Amino acid sequence: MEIFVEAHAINAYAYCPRRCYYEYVERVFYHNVYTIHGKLLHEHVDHAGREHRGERQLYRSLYLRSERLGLSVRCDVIEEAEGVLYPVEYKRGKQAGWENNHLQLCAQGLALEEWIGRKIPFGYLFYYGSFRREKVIFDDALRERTIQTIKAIRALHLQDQPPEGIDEWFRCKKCSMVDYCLPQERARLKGKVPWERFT
Amino acid sequence: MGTFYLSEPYCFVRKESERLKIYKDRTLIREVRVQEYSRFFIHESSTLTTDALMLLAEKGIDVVYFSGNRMIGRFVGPENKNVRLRIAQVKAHLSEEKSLHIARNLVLAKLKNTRTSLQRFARRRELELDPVILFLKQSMDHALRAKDLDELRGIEGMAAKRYFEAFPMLIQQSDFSFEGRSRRPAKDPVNALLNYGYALLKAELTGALQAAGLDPYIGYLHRERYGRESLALDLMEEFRCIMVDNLVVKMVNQGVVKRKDFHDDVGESRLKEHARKRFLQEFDRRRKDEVFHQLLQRKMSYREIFHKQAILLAKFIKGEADDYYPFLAK
Repeated sequence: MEIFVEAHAINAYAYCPRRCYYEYVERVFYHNVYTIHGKLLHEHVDHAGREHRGERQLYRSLYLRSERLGLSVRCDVIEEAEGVLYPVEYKRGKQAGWENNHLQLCAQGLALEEWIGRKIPFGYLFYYGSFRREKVIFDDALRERTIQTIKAIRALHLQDQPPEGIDEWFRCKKCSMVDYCLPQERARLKGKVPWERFT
Repeated sequence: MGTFYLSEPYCFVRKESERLKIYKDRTLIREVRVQEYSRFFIHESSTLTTDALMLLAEKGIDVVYFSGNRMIGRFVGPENKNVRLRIAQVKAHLSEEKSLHIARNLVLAKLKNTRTSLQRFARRRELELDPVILFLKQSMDHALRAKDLDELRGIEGMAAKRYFEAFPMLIQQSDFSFEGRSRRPAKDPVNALLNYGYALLKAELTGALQAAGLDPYIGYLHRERYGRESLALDLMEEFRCIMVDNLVVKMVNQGVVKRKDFHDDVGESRLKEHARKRFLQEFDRRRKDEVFHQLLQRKMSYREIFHKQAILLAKFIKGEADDYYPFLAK
C-alpha cells in the first residue's frame, strides 16, 4: 500500500475531516496555543528510550508500521507490566472521553498487535490536566471504527478538494487551522465578486 | 506582534535564553523578547549570531536583511510544504484565462481602493478631484471588459498615470514638490518615501505569501521579468494607495517628515537616518491600524489582512473558492 496513514491523522479526522485534509494531505500545519501547549507537555515522551518504573518497563517514542492496514504510528509510550504490553498516549487537558483519542490509541494497539503478533486488549490515555489514566478497551466496535477511519483518510488523499468541515464555530475557534480554513469567511464569500456593485 | 527594526549599524546580536541582546561597541544597548515580534528587519552592517538566528527560526520569525531601502535577503524557518498548491499556482500562471481573472480582480481592487481614497480626500478637504475619480470609475468599467492581460495592464497604467498627476494636490506642504513617479533614482523626497514604503509593503506581502504556501516569484499580472517577486507585486496593488500613499501624504502634511530630512545626492533624494527610523515606526504603527474589509464585513488590522488575502488567493488558485476576493476598503 502506498499511502501510510498516520495515527495522528485519525485523531484529526475524527475532530474534523477538513482539518485532516489540510494537515495530512496538503501538509499545512499551524500552531495555536493548544497545539503549542500539547507540544511542550509532550517533550518528555518525545525522546526515544526505555526505562524501568517499579514493576513496569517503559519504551518511549516508538515508531510502528502496519503493512496490512497501511498505518504508521508513533506511540508516546509502550508499557509492559506483568507480561502484558499496551500503548499509553499522553494528552493535554482533562479526561474528556473524546472519541478521536480512542481511535488514535486503538490504531496504536492495532499496529502493535501486528508487530508482536499477539492481541493487545487495551491501552491507556494519560491526561496531563488531571494526571489520571483512562483505560480504553479495544473492543470490536472500536477496532472497526478505527479501520473505517483509516480507509476514509486514505480516500481523502485522492481528493483534489478538501471535504466539508464541521463548521461549528465553538469547535472551529479552538482549531489551529481556523485562519487557513476560514469557516466564517467561506460562509460569507460565495460566488463571484459583485463588481457591478462597486463600480 | 510587530516588526523589530534594527537600523543601527555595527550592532552585535546574541541570544540569551529566549531573549536577544543587542550590543554596540561592546555595550549592551537593548534587550528584546523575541515573542513580541513576528519579523526582524535588519538594516546595514549588523551581525546576528547563529544561535540568535536559530532562536528566530524556531519561533517562526522572519529575518529580512535590508540595505538602504532594498531587500537583500531573508532567513526563514522550515517552509510550508503545500505541494498541491504550488502545482496549482503554476497551472494558473500558465492558464491565460485564470491569470486574466486573477489579474483583473487585483486591478479592479486597486482602482476601487484608489478611488475610495481620493473620494475621502475630496470630501474632507474639498479638493476638486472629480475628473480623476470619474476616470478611475471608467477604468474599472474598462477593466471588467478587458480581453487580455496587455489590455488590462494598459488600463491600469493609464489610471496610475492620471492618479499621480492628481497626487500633488494631496500634498499641502509647499516645499515638497512631486513631479510624477520616479523609482530609481527617486527624483524628489515624496518619491523617496513612496519607494521606501512600497519596499516595506512588498517585504510584508512576500512573507505573507510564503506563509500561505505560495511562491512569491510566480505572478499573474506581473510576469514579464524573472527574478522579482511578481506575486508580491500583484498583491501589492490593492494596498499601495490606501496603505502607503496615504501614509506618505499624512506624514508630509503633518510635518512628521520635513524637507530638511532629505539629502539630495546628484539627482537622487534620500532619507536621512533619523527620518528613516521615524518612517519605519510610522509604517509599523500603520500595519496595526484597523480598517474595514468590505467583502469580509469586519474590521481588521492591515497585518491580519495581508495574511488573509494571501490565503484567500491560495484558495482561489487551488479551486477551493469561487473567486479571488480582494481587500476593498470602505
